[in-house]
Amino acid sequence: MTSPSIPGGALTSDDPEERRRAARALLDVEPVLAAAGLVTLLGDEDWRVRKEAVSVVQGLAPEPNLLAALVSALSPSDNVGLRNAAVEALGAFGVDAVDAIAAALRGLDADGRKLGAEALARTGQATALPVLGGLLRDPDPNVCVAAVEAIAGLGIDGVLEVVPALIGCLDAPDEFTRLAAVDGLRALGVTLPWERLARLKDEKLLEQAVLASIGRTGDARAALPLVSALPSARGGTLVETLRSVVDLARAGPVSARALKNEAQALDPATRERVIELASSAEGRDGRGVALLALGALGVQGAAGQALDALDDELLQGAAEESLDWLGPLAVAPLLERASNSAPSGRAACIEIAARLADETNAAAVRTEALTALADPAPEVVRAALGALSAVGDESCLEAVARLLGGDATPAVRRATETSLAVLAARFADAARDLASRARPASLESHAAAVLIRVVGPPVRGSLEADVDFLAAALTSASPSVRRAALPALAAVGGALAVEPIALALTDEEREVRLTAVRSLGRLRSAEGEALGVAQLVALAERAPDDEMHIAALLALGETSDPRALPILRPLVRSGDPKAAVAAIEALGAFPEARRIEALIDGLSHPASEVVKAAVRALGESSDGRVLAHLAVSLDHEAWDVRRLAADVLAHYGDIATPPLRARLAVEEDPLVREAIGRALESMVGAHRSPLPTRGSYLPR
Amino acid sequence: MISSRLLPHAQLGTEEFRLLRDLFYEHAGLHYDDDAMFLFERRLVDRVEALGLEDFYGYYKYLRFDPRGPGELEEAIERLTTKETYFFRQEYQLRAFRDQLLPELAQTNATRRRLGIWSAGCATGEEAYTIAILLLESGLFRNWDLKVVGSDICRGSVAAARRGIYREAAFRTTTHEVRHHFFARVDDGCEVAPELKKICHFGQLNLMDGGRALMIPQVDVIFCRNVLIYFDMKSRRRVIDGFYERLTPGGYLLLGHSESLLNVSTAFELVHLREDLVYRKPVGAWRFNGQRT
Repeated sequence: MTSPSIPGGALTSDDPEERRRAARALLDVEPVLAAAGLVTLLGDEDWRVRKEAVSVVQGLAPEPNLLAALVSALSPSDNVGLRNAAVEALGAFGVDAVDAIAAALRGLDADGRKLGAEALARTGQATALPVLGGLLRDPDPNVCVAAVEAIAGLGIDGVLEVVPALIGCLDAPDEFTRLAAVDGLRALGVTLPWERLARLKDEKLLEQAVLASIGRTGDARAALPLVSALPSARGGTLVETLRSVVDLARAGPVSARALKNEAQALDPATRERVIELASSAEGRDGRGVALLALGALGVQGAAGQALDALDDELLQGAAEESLDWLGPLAVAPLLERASNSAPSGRAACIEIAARLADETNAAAVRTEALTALADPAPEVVRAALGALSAVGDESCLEAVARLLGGDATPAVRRATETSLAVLAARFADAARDLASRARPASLESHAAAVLIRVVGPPVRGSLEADVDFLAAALTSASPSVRRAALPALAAVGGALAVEPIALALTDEEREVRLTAVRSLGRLRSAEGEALGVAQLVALAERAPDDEMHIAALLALGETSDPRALPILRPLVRSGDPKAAVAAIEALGAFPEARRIEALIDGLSHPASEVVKAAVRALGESSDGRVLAHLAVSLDHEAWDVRRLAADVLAHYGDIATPPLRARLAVEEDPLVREAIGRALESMVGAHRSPLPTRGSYLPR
Repeated sequence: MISSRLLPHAQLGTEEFRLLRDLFYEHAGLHYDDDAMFLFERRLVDRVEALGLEDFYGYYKYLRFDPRGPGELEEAIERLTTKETYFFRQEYQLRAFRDQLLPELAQTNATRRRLGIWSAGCATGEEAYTIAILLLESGLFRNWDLKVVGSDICRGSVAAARRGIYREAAFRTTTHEVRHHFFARVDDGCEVAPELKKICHFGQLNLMDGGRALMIPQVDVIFCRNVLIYFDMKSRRRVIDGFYERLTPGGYLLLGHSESLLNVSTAFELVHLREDLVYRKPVGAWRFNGQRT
């Protein structure tokens, strides 16, 4: 049988379309013929032919002769189109091209080596890094620059190993290499110490790159050059400098304070320009950075811009962070805006104002929040409750408690309970007084139950009276009241609470039943003995439905009682993955020696979710046997188990390095490779995080 | 406009009836004979239509396989078992309870000053509140720890029992004095007094669900009137075994006037009261597993 070949003359036809079709036909011809034809077409004068040839590469096998032909196209030649197309084609071959390029580099001229660096970057392979690392020492500065840019562009696991060489490039004799190194290190998220960058900032060519990087040093000394650069910065330079300002503010309170101090000297025109950028409708990125910088610089009057941006989903985060930096300065504008905004804006304003308030304006926030409790929009009420948790005083207790007497949405009810609990913890006497006045089995008993749970007995004269009151709340027609009474009974009732809580397991409302199960798990005697174990064991053995069964298993875990072990241990192997996961999570709460064997059993469960639960639970263990078992999970067939195992092993330090490295050598899944890379990085005390652009490679 | 009830609606065939009947039996131990076919159609046809199903077979598949099936099963059972009841029903038995059992229990429990009664299959709570009224009126249990637990398989009935508001028909045999003392008029009926609510606890319970029945505390008396008629022999035995477990030794089981433990259980003693026959768990009884309780 003969292989098909390209029709004679097609490669050299005068008709570009015929040559383009010839490129497509390469997919069907003998590899040797394909290699020669491909190089010819990659150098074609017509760009459409070259493009077709590059696209064909992805369909060809990485035959050695094809790779060799492509690498040879990097050699000196006047055909720039061919050389560029060869770079693109080699990049498309990925890992197979790396060795071919590496072997050919020595024989190439400076331009060829530069193109080789670019091709290596296009492969996207970690194996390209050592080769690029070697090019950082190239005598030709253009090659060095290309290598630095290639490494920065790769941004993949293992890049840390070449970071020292990149840092070495900061001392390169060629200023363009130094520039590429500063930019490349920033792109990789590598943080350099102030001293390292400070000595470069006076070089005219490097000035902007250094300014863009010094914010990340977190050094307060960076504040002055950054603020000083703002008056003359324009366009993209202004945005990059402001980004660096934001980096510096995020680094910590000392550098944030330094920025605000230096910014006091900022001229009005510059402030106006940044405010203008923060208000511009175009360029969300620049606007977001400007918003943040206004806050970081503490620019008076900037709150308005941030408040405007709160309505923009993409800028909301930046606006909130900016307001945080502005602090109490933003409270008055926030309250003003709250009173005339739509519900979502009003909610956000109240919430943020409470967070930023200090003693001078807490009362104003409190007044606004108390008014907002009557707002018809649930999100406003929730925000007001959150605000009162932060700035409320004892006079707010009653107003918050009253909300539990109405027909609030579940979310508002939960927020009310939380707010009430926070206030009760802060104003225990007032809470006790309020709870003692509640009528039994009425809607008031909802708030009273929350208060009793927080302040503890006796609230109504004696422990017995408190338990009576809470047990009566369990007869209420309102499921919310019954649900609230249960954790209170568990918290204060001791043995007296066992029967009422157990009876609530038959409640007709699912939420009440589940709360009863959890409450039994938390019920303790004064001596700390778990009192609900018998009921939970019965429930775990004969629960009417999956949900109750699983809740019972988890509650048994909370008891940490040995009587639960015979129930939980066999369930680790249950054919029902939900039950097995619940058993593992429950066992996680037990003392080390009792649980470890069962958890190790979980690693061999056929369902990957169960294995993941076991890996997570074992990750909390300090037992010496665990490491070996977790290492085995690195070879699990499910990628998400392998990734989790890598994440967990990261906490074990150096002793986990060998299994992680062994797995990295054979792992193909990119997400697992990333996790292993992250784990290995954490072990050497290094951290690289391209997004967000903050990192800490060198100790400060 | 034509009422939708006049439009043709889904018909229940014999086969679908049997499938549904078996499902309810499997789930709740409820037994229906062939005569119940009309009851099924009448009480469930609205659900078939409300769910947009074509016929009763579709409804059966929905109950069995749809993720929302368990919830609908509760609804179906609720519709089939909802029964009309009222306060002070079967007065002769209540008199026997008040005049003979309560004095005896007041004596036997005098030391621990605690009395528990379970109204099993309490529907909307009339029986449980009636028992609570008898306890309070007797004057025998001042400052005792009194608990009347009402349970029913129907979620809606339990919620109604907790609410404790009743219409006129529920008071057909209630005296004016009792009504005046223990109920207050509200917008939509008469509401049970807080002192009764305080001692009456309600829960949703399938009597066939032994696991959940364990959550009922040990009690001195169980009322289970006109409930066993819904169960076949096998299910009855299971339910009665459960009652035996929850009764304290010497505790009483009171059944409906047409019900007995004949062919169901020999674990109980038959006790002849002046106006009624009741069952008692023997004092010092032996558990089925051979251990003395």
